[in-house]
Amino acid sequence: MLAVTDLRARRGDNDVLRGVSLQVSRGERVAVHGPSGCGKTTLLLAIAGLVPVTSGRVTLAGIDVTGMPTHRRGVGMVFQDDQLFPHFNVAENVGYSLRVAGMPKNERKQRVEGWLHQVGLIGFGARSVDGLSGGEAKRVALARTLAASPSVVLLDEPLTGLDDVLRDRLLNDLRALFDELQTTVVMVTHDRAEAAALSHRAVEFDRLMRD
Amino acid sequence: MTEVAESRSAPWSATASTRWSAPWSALAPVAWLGVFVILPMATLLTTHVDAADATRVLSRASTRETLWFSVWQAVVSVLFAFALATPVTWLVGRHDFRGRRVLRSVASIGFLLPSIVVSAGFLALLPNDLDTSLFAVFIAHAYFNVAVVLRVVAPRLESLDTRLMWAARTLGAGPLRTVVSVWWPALRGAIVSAGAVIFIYCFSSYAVVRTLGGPSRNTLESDIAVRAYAIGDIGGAVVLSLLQIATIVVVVLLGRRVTRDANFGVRRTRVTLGRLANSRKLIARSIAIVTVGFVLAPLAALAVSSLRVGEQWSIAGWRAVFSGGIIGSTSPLQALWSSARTAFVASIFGVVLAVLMSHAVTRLGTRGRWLEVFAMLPLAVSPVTLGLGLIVTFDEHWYDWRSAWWFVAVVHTIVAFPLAVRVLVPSWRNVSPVLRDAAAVLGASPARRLLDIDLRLLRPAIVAAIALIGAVSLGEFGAASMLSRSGAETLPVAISRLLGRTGDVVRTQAFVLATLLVVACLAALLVIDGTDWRTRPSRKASRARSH
Repeated sequence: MLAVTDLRARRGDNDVLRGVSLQVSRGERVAVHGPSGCGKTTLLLAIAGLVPVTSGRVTLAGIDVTGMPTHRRGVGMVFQDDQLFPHFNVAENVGYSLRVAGMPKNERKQRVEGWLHQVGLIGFGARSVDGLSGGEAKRVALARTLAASPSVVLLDEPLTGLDDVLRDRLLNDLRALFDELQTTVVMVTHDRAEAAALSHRAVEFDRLMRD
Repeated sequence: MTEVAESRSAPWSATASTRWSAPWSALAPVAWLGVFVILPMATLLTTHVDAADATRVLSRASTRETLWFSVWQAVVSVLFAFALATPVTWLVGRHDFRGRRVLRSVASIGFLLPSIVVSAGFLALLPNDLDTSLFAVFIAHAYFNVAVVLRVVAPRLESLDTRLMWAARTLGAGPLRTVVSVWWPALRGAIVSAGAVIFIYCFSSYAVVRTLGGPSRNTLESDIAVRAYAIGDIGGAVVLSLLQIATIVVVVLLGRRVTRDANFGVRRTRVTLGRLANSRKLIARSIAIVTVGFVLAPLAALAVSSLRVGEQWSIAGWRAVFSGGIIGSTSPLQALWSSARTAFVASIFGVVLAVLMSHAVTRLGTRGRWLEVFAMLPLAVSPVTLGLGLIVTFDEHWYDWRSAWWFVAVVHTIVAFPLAVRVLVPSWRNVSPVLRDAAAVLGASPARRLLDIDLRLLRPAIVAAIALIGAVSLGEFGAASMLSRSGAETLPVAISRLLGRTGDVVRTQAFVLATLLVVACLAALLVIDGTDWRTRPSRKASRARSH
């Protein structure tokens, strides 16, 4: 489904990605773990096309997307800090990709309600995103990403910043949701336990690099 | 710091994919300033002035007298402004109390009111023996600039670290010593900056000196107008303009030198202001009442004077305005229409240009900072000089636009342009680039990201910029008085003409028009203050950056 081959990226004078390779099958959940600052997030940003790479290749379903702009890749990403649009309410955030795709309003509304139901936020549509708790915001970010029907979902430290109770609840819900939807996921985390709990396969970031 | 946050500071974020548009968006505003600021100034310098003009004007005693008057009246005006603004600045800057925000807004009204309106207000307020005097000039200048002291010094006062004062006191410093060794060094930068801004404003004062200074008093700015338009000595006017610009540059450089190392004692975080002690409540109330009274008195005097003809109460002035009485060849209604039309066109054009420029400024890194400096270029040229440059540049063939009504609107876009850019740039910088990334992974193209993220988040700032340009255009007098053609004069020009004529009803009509202008400007001020144009980053966006 997703193949990252010998990917390299620099930041200033530093080689952040030094020949990273990673294969992910359809419906598989892979967790990449490693210490903070090792380049995990850069890997996700490179897969999404949000940072330029100096060499290497990213293919999605057999198509080389390395030079393709982010908005055409069909990759979804949940950012560590959610990055909900502060000027949109919950429903507008969740339905943003559908609006961009030109879906009629009524159909969009139904889809959004469906996704809010999926993530356990029924009745939250009209709320402002500023009033959401950390867990609720994460669920909105997830619904927003899944509503776009991406071929791969990238999760950047999905459970960081949540208290233990919220974390465990969200972990279970995410696992159930991804199982049900057969979502292909690449997540990065510094937490081995989190990596093991949510993924089918966990790999050390350093092991992905050739150099 | 997490990787995401680090990547934002690097030049390689998703926004890099939209950076291609930044140089293009700078094209239109740069061309606009090039054609309507640089070209006229270059024309003035290359074709309308020579060394003989410089020798002739600079060797004349009257030039030295005008320069001296411009300087010393500006210095005294600065002292007046600080004397009037210090109590309210101390009150707002060091205390938290109910109505604090309202007091700050009311005290700032003067800055956005047209100079001709404030002049008319003091003409209506002051007794006959004072209404055209140096005192009237000083007090009117102070009226505009209370807001400058308040808005520049109060925030510094708010963030002054009280622990430094405690430290000084525990080390044996008395109250005076504490002020000299702690307060002054911490506030010096803000005080000098405010003083320099006020000095420059008063030094190049035009409408106030022309209306309240009496016939014998001229600043360089009003002398430029007289020389260029009454006498036809364009070479002399250009020399005076250069003298004025040189003086302003010297003041700016001196101000920068004094404020260079002036960040001592300022906390980065916002401090919690103390509640007003009971013993100070009476003083606080007195300060608030005097300040509000000072701000509102000329405006109230205008409204009252608009209802008086000679010694009698009458609505004859209002009736004359709305029945189409004539001022020269322009009726008051025409002037109203002309001002509204000019302000509308200037706001629309100005905000488009300012949005384009601020987009380029915020996306071009170091080059963007140079562009920001370039955007401030119109501040260096006085409106009168600008008007003069435009008249001598666009005066023949197909580009003889001197009699076109929209030409005044063009000038107003230029005069208000730096202010609008100043409003938009910080707001645009507050938009988290990661939000654009989030939109990109959801399928939004660069154009869509610009519309849905940047321009949506920028909306309050855009509304504020439109209102600001509108207010500046409604009140701008210097350039409009040069360019307004017979039959299409703007309100400030019409007010000035009416005030210069004799007859009670005519004078009352001036007060009626000034009252209408006050209402329009206060409406614009409400929009500017009402929209939170500083577009604070959302809680979550802030969190993203704080990691």
